[in-house]
Amino acid sequence: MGRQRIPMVRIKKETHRQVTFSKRRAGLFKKASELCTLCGAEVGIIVYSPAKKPFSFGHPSVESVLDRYLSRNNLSITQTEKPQGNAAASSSVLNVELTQIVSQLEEEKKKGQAMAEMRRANAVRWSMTNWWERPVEEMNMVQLREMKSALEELWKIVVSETSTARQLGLRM
Amino acid sequence: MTRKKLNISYITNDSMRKSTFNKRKKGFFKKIHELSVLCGIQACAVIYSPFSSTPDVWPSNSEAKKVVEKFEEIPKIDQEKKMVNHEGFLRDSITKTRENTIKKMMDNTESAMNETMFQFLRGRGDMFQLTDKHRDDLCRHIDQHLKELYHHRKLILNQSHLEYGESSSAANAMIQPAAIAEEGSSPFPNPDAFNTARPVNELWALENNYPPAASDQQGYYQMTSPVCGYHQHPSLNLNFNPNQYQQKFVGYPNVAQDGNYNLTHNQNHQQEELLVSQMMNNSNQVRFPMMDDNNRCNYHQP
Repeated sequence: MGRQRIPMVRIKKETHRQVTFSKRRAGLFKKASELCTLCGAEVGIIVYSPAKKPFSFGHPSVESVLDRYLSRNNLSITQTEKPQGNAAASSSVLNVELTQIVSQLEEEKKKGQAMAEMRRANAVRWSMTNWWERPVEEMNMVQLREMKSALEELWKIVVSETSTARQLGLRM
Repeated sequence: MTRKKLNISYITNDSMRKSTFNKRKKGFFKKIHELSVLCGIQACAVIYSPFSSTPDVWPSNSEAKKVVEKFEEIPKIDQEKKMVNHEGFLRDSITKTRENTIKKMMDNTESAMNETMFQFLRGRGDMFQLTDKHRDDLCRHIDQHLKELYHHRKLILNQSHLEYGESSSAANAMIQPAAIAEEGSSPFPNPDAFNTARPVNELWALENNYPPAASDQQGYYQMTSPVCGYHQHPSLNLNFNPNQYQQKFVGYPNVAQDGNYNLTHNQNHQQEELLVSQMMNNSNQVRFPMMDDNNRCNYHQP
């Protein structure tokens, strides 16, 4: 990927640095999460933000990984069981859920894009015929008046159709 | 790097798992290195693979130990503020993504509604099959648009009031009633409420005396009016054939009492999809469309 290549040096601008930290930290934790799920690894991460706040990620927990690392307890707590056990069950359920919701988001984004395309296509024909599709802010008094009448008229029509549909017993 | 759709679940094949582990570990260390350089921060990572009892450590054992010791010196509360485990991390991600998805859905619904309204104004209302729920939402959207209209009108009036000064009695007369009529009145909750809109209507009538804005370059007579609804079209005669209302969609995302969108319903998607697909099928036709899809409103039906 790499939308832009950036030099591998400390970022000068503080706001930029902070933003980069936020994003990359999130990405790092995500990679760690995947590593845990895919390979059954145990991971511990500690990072300090530019503002000196500590962020940590741990699987099964930060504490257990640190304990193990500092030789306070050499054995992984899950080592005696088949790797994963209960933890795997819940994390894989969550992973599935996450995948689902992410793809839903992608769908919605695509839909939004499709509609934006359609709008752009229409925008070309704006000037004389579709002046009323422009933002309200761009209208003058006369246009506003016209628009208002049109909308009120439309409203009446739609409402009347609703009532009629109900009368005909077609409520849905 | 290949972009394949990867299912994030435990890799059961031992050799695949091992090779994936090695690759990803490498990439992971690269990422943490970049993070520490770009942001000028301290960091460390410890990874225990299922294949060995010695951990993989970044940056180095001595450096990492320093970071860990520093971490353990701070009070527990501060340690735990931004501490997360695997499950917690996943839950947070899900929540955030869900919020984004809902936002996007709402935006899309709004756009679809807007476009629908415009289609009606273009005289293409016939392309839609609307449920009552659709109509309600459409009315709400129209209402909303009208509010924006009023608001903008008020702005213009205020502006010109400043320009014309006290001498323009017409402008003057409009400012006050405008404030009363618009503030706090929701013009169209139901057909009867049309009566409450009347003062505002009279207001608009006053504007026949209103000098056309200097910016009105199009000229009144040259403008094409939006064609309202579809009263030119026979579809307004209500020969509904109940069969033509397919079971395709049921409505917008349901907002439960506690304000949570029910994402598992298909409704939300199908709602817009239907409108959007109807529009897209017809968007290029200028005239009254010959419907290919005979399931729509049939004018040939008695």
